[in-house]
Amino acid sequence: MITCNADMRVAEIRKFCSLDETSQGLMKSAMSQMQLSARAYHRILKLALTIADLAGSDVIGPSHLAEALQYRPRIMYS
Amino acid sequence: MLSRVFSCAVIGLDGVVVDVEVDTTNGLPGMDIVGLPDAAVKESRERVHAAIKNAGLPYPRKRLIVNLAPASVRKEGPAYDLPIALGVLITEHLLPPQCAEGTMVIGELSLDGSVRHARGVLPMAATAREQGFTRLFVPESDAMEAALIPGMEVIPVTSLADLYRHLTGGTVIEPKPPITEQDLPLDVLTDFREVKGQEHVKRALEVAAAGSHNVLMIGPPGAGKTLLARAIPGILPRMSIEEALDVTRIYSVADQLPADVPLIRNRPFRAPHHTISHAGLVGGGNWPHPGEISLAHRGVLFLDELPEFGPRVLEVMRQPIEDKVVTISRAQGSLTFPANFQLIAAMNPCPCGYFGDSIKPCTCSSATVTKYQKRISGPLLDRIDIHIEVPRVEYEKLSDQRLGEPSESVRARVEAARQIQRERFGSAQQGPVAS
Repeated sequence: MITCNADMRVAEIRKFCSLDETSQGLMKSAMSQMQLSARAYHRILKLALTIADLAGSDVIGPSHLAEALQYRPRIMYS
Repeated sequence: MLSRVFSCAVIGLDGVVVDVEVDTTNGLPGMDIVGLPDAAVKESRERVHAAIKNAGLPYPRKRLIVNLAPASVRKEGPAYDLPIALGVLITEHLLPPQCAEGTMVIGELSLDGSVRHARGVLPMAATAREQGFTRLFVPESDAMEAALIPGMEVIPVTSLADLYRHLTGGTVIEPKPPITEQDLPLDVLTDFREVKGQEHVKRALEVAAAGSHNVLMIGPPGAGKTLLARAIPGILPRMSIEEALDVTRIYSVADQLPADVPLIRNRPFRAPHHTISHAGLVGGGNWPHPGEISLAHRGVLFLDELPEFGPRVLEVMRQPIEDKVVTISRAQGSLTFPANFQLIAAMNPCPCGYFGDSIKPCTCSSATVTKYQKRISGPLLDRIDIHIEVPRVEYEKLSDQRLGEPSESVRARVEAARQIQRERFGSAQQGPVAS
């Protein structure tokens, strides 16, 4: 049984985590720049939905997605 | 005369009803126990003999045969002592056969006839209710645990002699009243207010708590990583009664339930040391027992000094993080334990700890830093949603007398976000446990 956002599977992510046009553009550039995997893509959507929930918003806005993206690992070792 | 008493075995986290049949045959006095018993069950015969004798009752000078059915289920532990003793007494017509009807009997006997603690009483009580039993004889020390299951008459047994008197119409043992969650206290937890500065980390942890996301905190020693992690249970939403029973069942089977706490109401916070073996972390053993990740079910698994954990230990967590359950396969069979935990990890950026620090220079070579950070594999890092740097705390912030935001108000926001999620996923029926 799913009780929180982290428990979502791909089907639920598709159902509840729709992105508007601005966010889609942001996600697309982040995917290529940060070299994100398919799993990372889904995890970012789940995280963005949680941030939207905390803000009391029904949909994921660009600001929510941006916050979720900045929590992703940067390549530490350089 | 053949007698039949019911008891229970625990396989993984589920109970299986066990028929304890006792009969007498001709032959040399003694007792044989059949039905896949382990060593502790076989030793039962000595304890039962002494306990019956010391309860002031006659032990039959006949050959006794005890069968634990179904014979295919492995029986372990000493919890069959009391049902076997009752069976012997019924066989000898010292007790009426109907005294054990609709009753599940659990308990280890000591030589003087007193009844000792048994492991896994909560799942046994749950099984008893599912299977239509109405009464439970359990050790006095475990009666609170059994009383969590409503609709059962729980008789707390202190000794075999007391139970004998109860069943023969002497001194009656009062059943344990059902326990409601209001009777149980909540622990005092570390408050977010006590952590100075680190506002961005607190925000990240709030997000993590709101959606149960995994977190990795990276920072120099003494920045407050461990303190922040210990404050997380205080901002997590309260467990519903179903969740609390779920968690308590695991602790009951792992025998980690404190004697005076029948129900775990606080979300678990497990912080295993980095010397833990992989069996200790995910569970294992000849006959599998739950490990730390299952004990952290519905709570927090905090791994401090993440790179110090062995690589094999960390990699075995990859599958449970995705599936929220862990399946342990052994020659005797495979068992699945729940493992829906939130991973909170903390690490230094390099062996000396000060790589990237604003004041203290790092003394590690760049190759050492890379090697240290590479101890955590890419696949594991990919499963951690939130990576957050925890920098050194400035003097101004540290000496500030004002306290930060209390955990209580952060938790209110987290609860609100969780409520939205419960409604979204259609599991809104379970409200939080009243505090």
